[in-house]
Amino acid sequence: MSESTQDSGSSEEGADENARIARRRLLLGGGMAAASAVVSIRPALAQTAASVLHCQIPVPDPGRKGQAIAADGSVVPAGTQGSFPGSGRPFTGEEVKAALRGRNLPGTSYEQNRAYLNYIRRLQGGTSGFTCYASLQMPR
Amino acid sequence: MRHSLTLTIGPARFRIGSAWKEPIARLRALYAAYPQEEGVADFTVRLEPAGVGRRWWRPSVRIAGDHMLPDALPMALRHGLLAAEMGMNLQMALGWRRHLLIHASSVEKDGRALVMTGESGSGKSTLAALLGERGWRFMGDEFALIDLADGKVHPFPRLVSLKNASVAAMRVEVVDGARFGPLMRGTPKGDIAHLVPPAAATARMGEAAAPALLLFPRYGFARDIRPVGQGEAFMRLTQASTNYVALGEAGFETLHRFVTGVPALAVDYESGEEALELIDALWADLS
Amino acid sequence: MGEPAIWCRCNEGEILLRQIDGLMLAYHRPSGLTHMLASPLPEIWGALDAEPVSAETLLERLSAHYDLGKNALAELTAHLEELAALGLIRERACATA
Repeated sequence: MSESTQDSGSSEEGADENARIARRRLLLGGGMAAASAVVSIRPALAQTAASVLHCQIPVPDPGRKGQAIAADGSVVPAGTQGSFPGSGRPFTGEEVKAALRGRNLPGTSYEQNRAYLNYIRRLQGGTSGFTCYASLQMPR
Repeated sequence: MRHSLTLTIGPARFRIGSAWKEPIARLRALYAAYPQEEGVADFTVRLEPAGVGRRWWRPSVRIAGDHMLPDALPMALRHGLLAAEMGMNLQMALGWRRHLLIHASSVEKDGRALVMTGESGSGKSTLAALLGERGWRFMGDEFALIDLADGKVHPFPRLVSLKNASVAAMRVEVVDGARFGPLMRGTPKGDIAHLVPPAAATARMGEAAAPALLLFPRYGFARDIRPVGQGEAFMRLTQASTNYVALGEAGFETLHRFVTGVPALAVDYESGEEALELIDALWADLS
Repeated sequence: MGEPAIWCRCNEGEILLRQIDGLMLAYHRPSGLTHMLASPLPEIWGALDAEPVSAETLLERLSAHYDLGKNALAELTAHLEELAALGLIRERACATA
């Protein structure tokens, strides 16, 4: 019990410190409509749940690095007509969440964004990024 | 029951009863190196005929015991050994409360444990079996038992359950044919053969080890190593644990201690040899 | 009814907190549930104490450390309601100390 007080105390001090180093960041009111920031662990969650909002989704999976993404989200050989090369860096859970609400994934064109989102929607368990995507789907 | 056996594996004692002689005889032989003296058992497992007359006519086994799953399908008697193993696993998964139980394999070297967790097909079981033949102490291929007081990993070195291609791979590794159980074809889990762990695994099955590394192996992907954050490791381990929720506060404290004290990595690999090489390199980096 | 809600952190005996990476882990003893809280919830939690305060007051406290956008109050209220629904903070009904 006393530890819980200590923990929260130190996080407040940490915040003070951050403020002094002028690393002020936007905490609230960014227009994200108060997205839920909680994942609750329940026994029924078996194997689907995951890594809250700090997770990332590579496009495509590192196991298929170098391949391209077709418009329908499938992974195809690089250079296939109408496909897009994989993204240079993984997208964060927050970026994907925003994109699912209609914003473009950073650095993508309209068609490319659609193809990437189709890829993400098709992620299967065991694929890198799946647990992250699953956590974005959870109501809480 | 007509035929029975008492068996101690790690900290758990099982009493296994069967309507048929054969599964018990098989277990007795494969578990010859394990304590088999009678005593109060933690769990009972019963292999019963799945219906009237099913002891003789197309003999079919229902797995029963202290803890049961309502929808479990009966199995053919020729898969009786697997049924007994599944029965024991089920008791542990549903009933064990003395440790935090994680669906993971584990091996030990220099007094420190390597824990590997992943879904079926990740290779965690085969990797633990391979490492057990290559200078590591095999601690278990199915459950890692985490001590609620000090966070150490306790062994649960039951027979290794080899599936499909792993059977042939381990036949190359282990020359002593007597360490293999019968090949059971077409079981609900594929072709299965059991492997008796090395003698050191049973002789030292009361010896716990502090965890030093947690891996999330994944077989069939190009070689890659990625760090896994504490938050993701915590979440994934709650999902790999069968008793995290049941243990309440003790489970929370134990898992928090584990993820903050043990580095975690996701490892992709395409062959057993490649994985062993990766693991050797990662292990050397720890010290 | 109609009164502005006030919030407090006065049930700490019911909650076990641990930090991992940038997240806060909370074990809620009465329900036996574990929650993983991501930003901004740990910051909001840190700005609360046993003294009940309104969302407006809390927002002022937070503004000393963080930037806040124009929807900040609505978002803060939604997060407070979420924390209260999990039993991690209380709305108004704090036992008198």
